[in-house]
Amino acid sequence: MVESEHDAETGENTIVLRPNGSLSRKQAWALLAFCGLLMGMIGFFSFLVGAWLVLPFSGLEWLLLAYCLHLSLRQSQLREVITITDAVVRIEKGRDRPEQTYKFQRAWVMIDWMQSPIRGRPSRLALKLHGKEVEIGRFLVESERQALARELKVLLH
Amino acid sequence: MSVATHDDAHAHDHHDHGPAKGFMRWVTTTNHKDIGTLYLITGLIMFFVGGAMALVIRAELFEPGLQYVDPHFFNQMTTLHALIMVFGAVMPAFAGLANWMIPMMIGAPDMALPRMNNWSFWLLPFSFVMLASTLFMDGGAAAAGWTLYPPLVLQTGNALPFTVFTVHMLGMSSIMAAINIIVTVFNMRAPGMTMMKLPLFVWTWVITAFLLIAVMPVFAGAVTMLLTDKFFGTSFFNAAGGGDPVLYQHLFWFFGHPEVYILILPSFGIISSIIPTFSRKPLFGYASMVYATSAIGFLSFIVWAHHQYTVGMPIAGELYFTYATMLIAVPTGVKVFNWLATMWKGAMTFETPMLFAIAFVVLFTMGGFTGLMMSISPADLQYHDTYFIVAHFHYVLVPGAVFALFAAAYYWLPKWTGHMYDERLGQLHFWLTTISVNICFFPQHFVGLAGMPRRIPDYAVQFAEFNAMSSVGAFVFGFSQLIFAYVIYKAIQGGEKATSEVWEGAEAHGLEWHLSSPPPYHSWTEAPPKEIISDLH
Repeated sequence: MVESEHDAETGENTIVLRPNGSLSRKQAWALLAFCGLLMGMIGFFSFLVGAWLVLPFSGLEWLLLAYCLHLSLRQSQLREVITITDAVVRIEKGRDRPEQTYKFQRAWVMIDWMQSPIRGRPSRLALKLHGKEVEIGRFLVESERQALARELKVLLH
Repeated sequence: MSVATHDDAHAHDHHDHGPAKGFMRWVTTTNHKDIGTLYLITGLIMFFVGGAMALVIRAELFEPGLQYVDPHFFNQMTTLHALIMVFGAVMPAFAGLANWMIPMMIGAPDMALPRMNNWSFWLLPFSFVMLASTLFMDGGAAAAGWTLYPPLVLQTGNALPFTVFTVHMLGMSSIMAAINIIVTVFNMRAPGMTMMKLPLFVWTWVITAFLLIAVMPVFAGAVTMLLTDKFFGTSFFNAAGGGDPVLYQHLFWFFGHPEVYILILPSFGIISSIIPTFSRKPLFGYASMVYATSAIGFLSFIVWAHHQYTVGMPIAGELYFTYATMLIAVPTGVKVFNWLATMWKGAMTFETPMLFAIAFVVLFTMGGFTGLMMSISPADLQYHDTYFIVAHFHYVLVPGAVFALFAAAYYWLPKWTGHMYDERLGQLHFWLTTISVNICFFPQHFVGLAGMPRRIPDYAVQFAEFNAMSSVGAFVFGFSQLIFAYVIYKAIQGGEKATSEVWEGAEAHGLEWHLSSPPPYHSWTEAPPKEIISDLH
């Protein structure tokens, strides 16, 4: 998903890119709590009737579910923030905070958009200057990436 | 600033062009369609292996007396037939359908955890080879029935730890598949695809996945306790050491009854997809179908002891389990009513998937009714461990789960292969299968009511005619499935090209019909437009 913002005072344009994810963290916790309650109750009652060996299997399985949800959510928490000022184009990539930051001089930066030779395969969008290249929006769907390329072309013109 | 546009200058930088070539494609694949195909082929192969075992059983029961196999081998066959059909044929086939269809139906590019998906499939072939190898071990394979009740199962020879390990591996595979489905459906739905827009097949699989993750640890724990009783001197199920063999029955059926719903809920989803398409109407009562499926899922946890009325439980317990079990008829009735209402005044046509779907509704309902009979504890004392039970669960699982799988295969085969299947052969397969399945299982109600016990290779001469009929039906049913295998092979090889919609008006019923036939290697690299999703029935 692509969200754009223009600050009229500073003239800065900010574009936030994020992958599609239909589950929020809150919902994920609710899901885990529901599964934990269900599996915990079953494991606990099994323990009470003497079948205590059920409990570790329930616990392990809940942990696996939690880990898998964490992996999937981690993927959907990726963010790319492109800030365009008069002088520079700044790209920040990360999850909760910027983990990688790249800067290009606005006047010289190039948009590099490559279509795949195979029909139906995703294209590739990058910003590059002086041999330095940063791919952006890898997790976007094709139409969003194309729209982003068009928007960048207008903003950087 | 300038813009550079390339077509293929950096094509070699892409790592996801399409399928790799050769055998290793299938070993290392993380693509949901490839893994779905692997599951489906495994399911079909195991269906034939388990079916061959059923034919050994029916050959022996063709006439009274002992003909071909000794009683111990007969019991190995009944045990392995059930384990293979449940865990090897039906569950992998549903997992295959889930892998193929769920990402396409929710507008996702793949499953959420593709590497785990690969692993969860590849556990299966090794598990089945290990299970089959127990037939050649000292003492033979497990012969205590698929329930693996102690103390009988503890008399198994060297095969016991291998059987238990097989169960663990199959359980791990199922759990990983279930977790993958839950994470995929909850986190990878396309924008606009709300939970109440999900196709019924996806809904039924989500509920199935919750059932799986809830009950699998119970089964894993129970069989591990069998192992520790046998080899580590514990007494979980050993009365002499203060344990209780009935505890195992409770644990097994706390897993086993939801397991039955694990086998049937995805069938409900399939039938709910097919009937609207061939009735050319939206599904009647979508929301009530979702709530009914959830209700069935919940009820499946609280009825387990109706399998154990004869263990001598308190009368209050028998009453509770009788009434709780009867309750299941309510949401199931809602479903049957909705399917009938969907067909009512529809512009129906009767292609092979629809024929199997209609046969499912009729014959599954019959199986459901005999289930109601057995829910009544005083009546069940007569039916318990007789062929009436065998008839009941085969009506639920063969014209139920297996017919739904046939219907699904015919329904989605043109989408998968890009070719229409041979309709004439499909109809021949349907009629031979439907007639023979009834010849096979219907007489078993009568011999069961008259007292013929299950899992015994010999019987009184009064049951001879019905058993002969049943065996003839079984052999016709078994060999009819070769037609099914041939139809699939023929469609893969070629034939009339299928359109993306395949069936008239199908686009209104699901996102999968908006992809080409066959679909691209990676589904939905571009999210489906919201208008399509909001227009879905």
